[in-house]
Amino acid sequence: MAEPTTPTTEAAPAPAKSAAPAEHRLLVTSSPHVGTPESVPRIMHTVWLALLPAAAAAVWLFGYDALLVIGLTVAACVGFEALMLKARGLAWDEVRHLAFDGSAIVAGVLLAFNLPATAPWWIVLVGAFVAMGLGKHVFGGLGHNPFNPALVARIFLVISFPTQMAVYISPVDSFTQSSAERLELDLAEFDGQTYATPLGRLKDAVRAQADPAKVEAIRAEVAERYPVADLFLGRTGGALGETSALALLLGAALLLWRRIITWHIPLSFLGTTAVVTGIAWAVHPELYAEPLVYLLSGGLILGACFMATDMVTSPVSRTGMLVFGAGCGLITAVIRLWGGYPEGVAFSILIMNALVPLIDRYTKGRKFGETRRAAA
Amino acid sequence: MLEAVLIPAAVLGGLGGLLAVVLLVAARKFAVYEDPLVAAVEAALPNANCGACGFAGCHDFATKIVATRDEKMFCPPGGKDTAAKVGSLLGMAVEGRDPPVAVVMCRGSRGVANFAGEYQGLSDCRAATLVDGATKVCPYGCVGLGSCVKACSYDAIVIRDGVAVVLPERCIGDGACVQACPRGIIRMAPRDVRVYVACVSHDAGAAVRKYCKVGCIGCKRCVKACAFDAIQFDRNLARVDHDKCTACGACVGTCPQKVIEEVGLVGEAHAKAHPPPKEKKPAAESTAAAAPPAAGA
Amino acid sequence: MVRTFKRGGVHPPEHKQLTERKPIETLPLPKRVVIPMAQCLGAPAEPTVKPKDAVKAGQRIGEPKGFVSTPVHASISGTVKKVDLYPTAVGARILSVEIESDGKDEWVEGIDLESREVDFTRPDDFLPALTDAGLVGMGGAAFPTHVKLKPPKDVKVDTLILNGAECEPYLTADHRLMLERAPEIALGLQILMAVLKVDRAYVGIEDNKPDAAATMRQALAGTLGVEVAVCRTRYPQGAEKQLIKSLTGREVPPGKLPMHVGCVVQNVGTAFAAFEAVARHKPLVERVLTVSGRAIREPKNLRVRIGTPLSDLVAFCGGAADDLRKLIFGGPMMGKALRFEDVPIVKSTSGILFFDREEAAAVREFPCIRCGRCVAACPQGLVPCDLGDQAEHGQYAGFADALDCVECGSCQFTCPAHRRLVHLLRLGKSEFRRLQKKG
Repeated sequence: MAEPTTPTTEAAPAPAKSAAPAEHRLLVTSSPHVGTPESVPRIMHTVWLALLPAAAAAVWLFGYDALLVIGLTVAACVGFEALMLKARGLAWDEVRHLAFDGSAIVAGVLLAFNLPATAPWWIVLVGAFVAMGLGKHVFGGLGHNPFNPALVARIFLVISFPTQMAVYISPVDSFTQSSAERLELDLAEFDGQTYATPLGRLKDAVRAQADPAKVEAIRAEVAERYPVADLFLGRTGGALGETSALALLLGAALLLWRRIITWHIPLSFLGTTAVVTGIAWAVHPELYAEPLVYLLSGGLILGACFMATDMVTSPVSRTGMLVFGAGCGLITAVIRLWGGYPEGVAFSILIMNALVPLIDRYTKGRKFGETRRAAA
Repeated sequence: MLEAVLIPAAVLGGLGGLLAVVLLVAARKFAVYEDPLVAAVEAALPNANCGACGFAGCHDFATKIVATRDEKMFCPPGGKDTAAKVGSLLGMAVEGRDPPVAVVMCRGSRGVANFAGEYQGLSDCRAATLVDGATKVCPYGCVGLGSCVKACSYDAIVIRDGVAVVLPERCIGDGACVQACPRGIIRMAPRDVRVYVACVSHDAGAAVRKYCKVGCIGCKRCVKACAFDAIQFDRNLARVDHDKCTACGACVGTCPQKVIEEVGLVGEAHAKAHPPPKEKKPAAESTAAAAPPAAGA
Repeated sequence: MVRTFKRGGVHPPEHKQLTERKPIETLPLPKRVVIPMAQCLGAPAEPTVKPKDAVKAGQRIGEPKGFVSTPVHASISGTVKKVDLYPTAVGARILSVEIESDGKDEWVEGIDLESREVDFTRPDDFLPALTDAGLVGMGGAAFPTHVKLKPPKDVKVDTLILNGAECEPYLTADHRLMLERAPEIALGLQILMAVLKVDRAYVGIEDNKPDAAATMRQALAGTLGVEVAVCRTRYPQGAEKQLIKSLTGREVPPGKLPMHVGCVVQNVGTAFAAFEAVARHKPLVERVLTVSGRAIREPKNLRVRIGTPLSDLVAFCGGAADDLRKLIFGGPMMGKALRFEDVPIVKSTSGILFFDREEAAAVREFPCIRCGRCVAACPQGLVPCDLGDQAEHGQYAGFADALDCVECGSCQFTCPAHRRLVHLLRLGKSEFRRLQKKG
């Protein structure tokens, strides 16, 4: 601002009229003076709305216990979020506002989707506490967490309570049957064993590869028990929200349409998994299943569409998103095919979360007018 | 059975011993000699690492003064006491003054100065001036968003009614606020001189009157009142020459605009010395609303 | 073929329907004008009149100081009342000349308000005429036109681009000007081409103004080397660098000017003013602007004398609503919010927006959720969210890379957390420059 320092004559600086009453009528802000109607709460609320089809599928498949687990997880997450916001010294009305900005609800639903229907209440509470505390608020709350809170909690629970976290039940189609009843029936049906997930059985086959006859038996059993159509609809065992590819894809379509996620992460994630498992299958068809089975089973679609795409913990540029998704897909496939765990989606996303700052740094786009960008 | 205990103990003990020898050799071989005086001088300094002396922190100051024995080197926040201590350590007389104190050359608080518009944006004086968000009509006065408050490590400045106020008992005189102020209205003054003109407006009196009730209007009454020729006058603005001022206070009462301020008067004493000018209407309500606090901040 | 730049950009609601069908009206002669000396992006002019002087419209009242400076002219005839500091859109206290009208609107000798004659046989006379007329870029930046038209010897300019994109929402002044004054703009374009000695020119118009494109095409039919190019309606299509990219495919390197890729961009309003300066010897003393927004009763496109107080425009447009909350000089994306209600119109005022409480309502700010929308929206390929974080933490070293930010506002417009990204970037750039100067 070029302002002369000395007046040439007596000055009359005050506004010509509208002296006192309208003195503070005009608002001064930086440009721009218009903004998108989109907002953080709107995004978060849309995300959990997009998860509702999968929640409905969970209730349909695993009975009313699914509803209880989802409800309790969400309530616990919102509760812990409010407590931690308060502990960080915010006023109550701030706390109320932020606890219902939708991000705690999303974390709650996602965490519930990672739990089995048989999860006891205390696992839910521990998980919610870990998600909100270790996953989010130790880093400074919304926007500052490097890792997806729901996945931090899931890994914490899988490592701390491996037994409870692996008790899956077979799909029931009966709303009134409790998971405990169903578990009894499963134990009777499978000679004292709980329901085995397709990925678990495929891992069993790999572990038994010294004995070709056994491998063949397991492969035959997998093919018979888990037809692809059932996998697509979700009529299989697993964590609550991960089984129904159909319901998850419906939700993902909503997010894509509302432009909350872009195609980059889901496609590169799923694509890389498909390519790597496809190669393994082509080389060892007797040992590994076809890629479609890997795509539709386990938490791959839930992870690729809803957890890897978490804005806070994924790269900001389109190129970065492609790299991030490909990394997730690669690690998932490697763990599934050769790792100790049958499932690798959660690990892969967390590992890639840790690499996001690096990815962001090396995928900064070319600036306008630059012919070639020197590596930062 | 005994082996199971002995072997690990021997391995770990041996490893520990070996590493200890390596560390010992390294410490001897790479040891850097430092004059013990440096450590002693550093201990005598305030160790605030404020940089007011012009060196990169207290250690740097200590190293330099021990090396050069320059009696002109001076730690402003430390004042006379520190200078004496450092001097006795080095066996010489180090020039000592009391630390200066920051003074804000503006008293145009809400209801006293005129405002136009309401600013919403970054709570930072410099940022506000970038978007015409300094809402005081006076183009010289305190923006009042507290960039100086943020810059001060000693909580020695507060914003009171839209104007920065220095708390002299807390001010150590490091001058961080002077750098932070986009309007350049914070100056360092000697602590023992108690009078200064709290205005920097070079505008003519009639212009100043239109936007501020406590602006210097250039009437020169203080110049006439001063028996020591300590008030300089330049382009409609009076300024106290601290080398000549004896803090007799003769000028304070003569100022019709009450812009001559005494260093050291804060709180009630300040209010008593400067009763707020009579208002025709109640003081305008908050004008420079800060940005809504960022969620989770 | 609809052309566009490839990277970034947003599409804010246009709100152009408020005024796009309203013909330009001429504001009645103001009773008084306040003409600031600082009206270009350069040194302010030096006043050459004193109180009680009689002046005529078009008379020079401010001499330029230096090359990057423009003269200032009286916009009405009358008497100089004061030469003083006034609150204006560029600052709270700007040296200005106040003129009281004698109501006669007498013009200085030599100005022919009706002439349409341009003597293309004497192109060397054009540049002095434009310089004397005090022309500045009328899209909003107010860069002295004669400086742009006189590139340094070692720079080869081969293309002139006439900017009729008008990508800012609400604004329709350029649109109406193209519809109503196409032949004059066409002549102005040829004048500018002659000054630059280029044989290729584009007129860039967004595809939300097909009528303007058709009119301009008609006016320019038969003019060799000129193409009226329709561009996608995408903000900031009218930003110099983006328009050059859309029309020629060239990218202006960071830290460089359009002339370094052989282009000069001028606003259509500037072309019209160039025509008036050459054909009519009329200096830049009036301009067309849009008055819009929900807090003004009758939004209009107006032809206004420079220095007219805003209150005259308000009265002519039926008055401002009681819940007027924000006054913006310029468009909503890059315009400047004003503190004072009655400031004079200046050469760069492309529009004045009156926002009511609802339009100006602050949206709650959230922490950055790293959605990356600002990265996708930035036409310059920057990472606004990271730069904003750095500025928030007082770290300005990273802004060496961000000096190409043109503050177009795309990042902040698209930010769902409603962070004040542009403000942060402004702070960061200015602090970076300040610290760099300090060394």
